[in-house]
Amino acid sequence: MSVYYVPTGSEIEVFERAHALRLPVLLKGPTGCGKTRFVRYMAEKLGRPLVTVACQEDLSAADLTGRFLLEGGDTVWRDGPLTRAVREGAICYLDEVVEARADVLTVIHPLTDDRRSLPLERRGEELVAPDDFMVVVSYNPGYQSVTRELKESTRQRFVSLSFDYPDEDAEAGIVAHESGCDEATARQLVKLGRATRNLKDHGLREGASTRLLVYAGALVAAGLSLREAAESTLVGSLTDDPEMTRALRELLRSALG
Amino acid sequence: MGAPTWPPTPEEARKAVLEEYGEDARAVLDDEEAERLLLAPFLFAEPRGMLGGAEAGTPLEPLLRSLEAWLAMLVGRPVKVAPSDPPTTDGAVIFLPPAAPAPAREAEDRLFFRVAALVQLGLVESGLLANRALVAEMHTDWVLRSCVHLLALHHLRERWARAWPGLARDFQAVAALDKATELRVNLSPVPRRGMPGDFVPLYDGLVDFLDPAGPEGDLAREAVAAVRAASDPRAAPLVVLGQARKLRIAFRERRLGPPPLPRFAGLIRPEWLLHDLAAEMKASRAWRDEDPGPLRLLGKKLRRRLPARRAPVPEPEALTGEPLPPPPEDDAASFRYPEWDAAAGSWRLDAVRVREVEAPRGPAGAWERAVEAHRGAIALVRRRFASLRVEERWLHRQVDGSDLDLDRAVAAMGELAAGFTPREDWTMRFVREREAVAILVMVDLSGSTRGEIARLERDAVVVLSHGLLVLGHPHAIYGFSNEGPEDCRFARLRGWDEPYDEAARRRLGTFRSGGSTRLGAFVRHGARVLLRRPESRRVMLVLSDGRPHDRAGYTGRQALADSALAVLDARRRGIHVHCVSIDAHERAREALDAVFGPGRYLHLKRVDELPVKLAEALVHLVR
Ligand SMILES: Nc1ncnc2c1ncn2[C@@H]1O[C@H](COP(=O)(O)OP(=O)(O)OP(=O)(O)O)[C@@H](O)[C@H]1O
Ligand SMILES: [Mg+2]
Repeated sequence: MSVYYVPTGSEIEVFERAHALRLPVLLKGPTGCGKTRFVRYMAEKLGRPLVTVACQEDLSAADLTGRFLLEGGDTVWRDGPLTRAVREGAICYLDEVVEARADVLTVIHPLTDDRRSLPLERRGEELVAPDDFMVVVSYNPGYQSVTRELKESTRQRFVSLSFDYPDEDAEAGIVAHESGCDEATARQLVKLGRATRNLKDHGLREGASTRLLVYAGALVAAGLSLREAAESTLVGSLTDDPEMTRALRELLRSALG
Repeated sequence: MGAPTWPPTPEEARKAVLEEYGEDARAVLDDEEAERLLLAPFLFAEPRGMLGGAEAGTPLEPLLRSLEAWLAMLVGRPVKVAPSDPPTTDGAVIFLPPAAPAPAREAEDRLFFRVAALVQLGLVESGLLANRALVAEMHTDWVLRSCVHLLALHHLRERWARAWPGLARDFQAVAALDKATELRVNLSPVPRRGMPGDFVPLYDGLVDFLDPAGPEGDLAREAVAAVRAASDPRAAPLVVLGQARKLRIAFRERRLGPPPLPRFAGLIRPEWLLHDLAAEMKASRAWRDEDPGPLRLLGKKLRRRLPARRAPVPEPEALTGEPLPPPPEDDAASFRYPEWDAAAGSWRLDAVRVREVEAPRGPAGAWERAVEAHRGAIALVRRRFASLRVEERWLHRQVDGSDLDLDRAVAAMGELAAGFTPREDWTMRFVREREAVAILVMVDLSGSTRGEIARLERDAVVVLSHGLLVLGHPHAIYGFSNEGPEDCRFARLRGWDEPYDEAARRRLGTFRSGGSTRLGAFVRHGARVLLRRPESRRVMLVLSDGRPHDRAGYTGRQALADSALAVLDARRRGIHVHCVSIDAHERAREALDAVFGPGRYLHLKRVDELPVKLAEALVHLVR
């Protein structure tokens, strides 16, 4: 296997079962905790190609399914990523799915229930998904806003897997492996990172993600001091609020002297 | 009583006790106990009031949030800090003086607050204060109390530095800081010179510049060494306790009284920690080997001077065990609501009457003046809201739109060429693309708001109106205030579909304050108003400047509990309730936590931020 992923619970097993049973999967968890990495890992483990779509507001149904294009006087049909994934029996991964408009998401409904089909109205065609095809979506439920929630009819089509940051040892291992910094530095960074997570909803929207700790580790591996690296990631990238900045700086002092 | 000297003379002490307790103290004195006499002048010293005013150092208030955040990161749970002098804790909240000791020196004062907080938090975390029998025993035994506290300091210093190496430096620095290490028994300072040699090793590393102890300090030296060596966090409290008991016996035999504490260590206040004082005192007597007679008498006297215990804040969830009563009948213009009576533990049916009224119109021109004064803020808010607005978005692929949808037209040509019959949906039009949100802004008009603040509230509402207009979601703005339960007025400043015409502007630009804040009733009514809206997303934004309060029956914790329940009920019905508060009261955040829940409100310390921050809070909610 070439994709590096450290499991944090029974997520691999649940995912494999869901795939075998042809059930779609919803991954929830804070930013940078390994959701995307996990999907890449599972795609490789199951031997399926992975098609990723980053959702945003402007995404239209045609962006997902495909459209006719004029090419030098000829018209050609271009599959969208979803259609392509269905044809290839791939894993189709819709990242940050709440960013897409609710009505656009309804195009995945027939694919995510027992029909497992994708009607292409424009082409007068109805694709039936092969057994290997799977829909995976992810979102970060941390920040609740009034207009960004999944429709109930969308949400309840999925088997959900909740992600959180790995435990202390695992996370230190990940940070060391991914960034190339030494073990002791990784441990220090993880300790700091975990401390900041206590401020989630108490001054910070989110604490430091594993991704951010990997960045910090990489800066240390590239020659920066731990303090400088931490200052520019764990302080600078977490907040602009002067009081929280002060609290985070004081935390660095408390940890590093 | 004059300032106590070190050590106090028995005559002074005797006089003090008699003055304080009159003739019935003779019983105590007949059973004369040298230690209690030594202690008396300190025990009965008047508190000198909380630090404040010109002679104080850096105030706590501006540092509070970052301090709380820092502590929360160190211990991995939320930590609440509130002002009270000297530093102490009730097991949940960490109390720190409202200002550091004078003179004001920012860096030193922050150090003082940091270390004082670490000590109190450490006492809680170490589990020492969870030992009820010990706490009860400390209630009457000052020598034991001081010994436990001092030895705990040594343990905590090691413990914090082990967990967070940088903290060793903080403890080191504070030991060299004169104003933080002033020595005190209870609230009275005692001089460093003349300190009994038996005590001196107890201060090693905690307070610099004490003369090294002579040979008589051995016992204390051993105790400190034993405590420092106890690294297992579960064993340490037991070691502290065992060593403290040893010291206490020795100090009593030698008639030394309690060793004083450095100021940054604060004070353990057993009476703040015990929930059932009488029962726990009784239990603690099992610990004591000597006759409790005279102590009991003194304990009883002391207890009489204790502040009445605070009722615990009721948990909204726990209260809802009582089912909510059905809504009573309303007539056309007034609405009745029940109220939760926390003291009785039941609902008061039909407790309040809310009337919808039109707010009075003041003179013209006020709105325009506010607009003039806040041009910058208005521009900012409009820009901010413009990016969120619901209108003026192109909806593509419409059959009957107003403009040609070029992308779609090209695609349709492709379909035609490929032999399909395309749908004729190559036009586009403006729509409300996002689902609309019904927004109800509720402004507290109660009498707590006067003068300058009232004006800023009005200005904030004017600025917010501009943002709301740009945003395009349906919204209404009401003010609320009441005189007792039967006269709650929900005053329309701008109704749902009302234009911002002259009449509305005159109401918005000039609303006045008066009356009280029966918040629960208004939140219930606001929820009803919102639930009648067709939009499925609903937001209630409360602008408040003080805690809920009305006449008897709706004050203090009772008012908080009812308001919290009303908010909870609104949320359960899917309404997003948020509050922006400019309450200047020192416990404001406690009240806001109780009513709206931590993180579900914005507390502004600078009132002049209100116009922009109120709008920002809304952006946050509808984004
Ligand atoms: N369990 C894990 N095993 C290996 N690497 C991990 C793990 N968790 C996190 N990482 C590291 O953290 C980085 C961020 O993870 P990833 O991109 O998967 O986060 P995410 O959850 O998809 O975040 P977002 O919600 O922001 O997209 C990865 O690049 C990887 O370096
Ligand atoms: Mg991702």
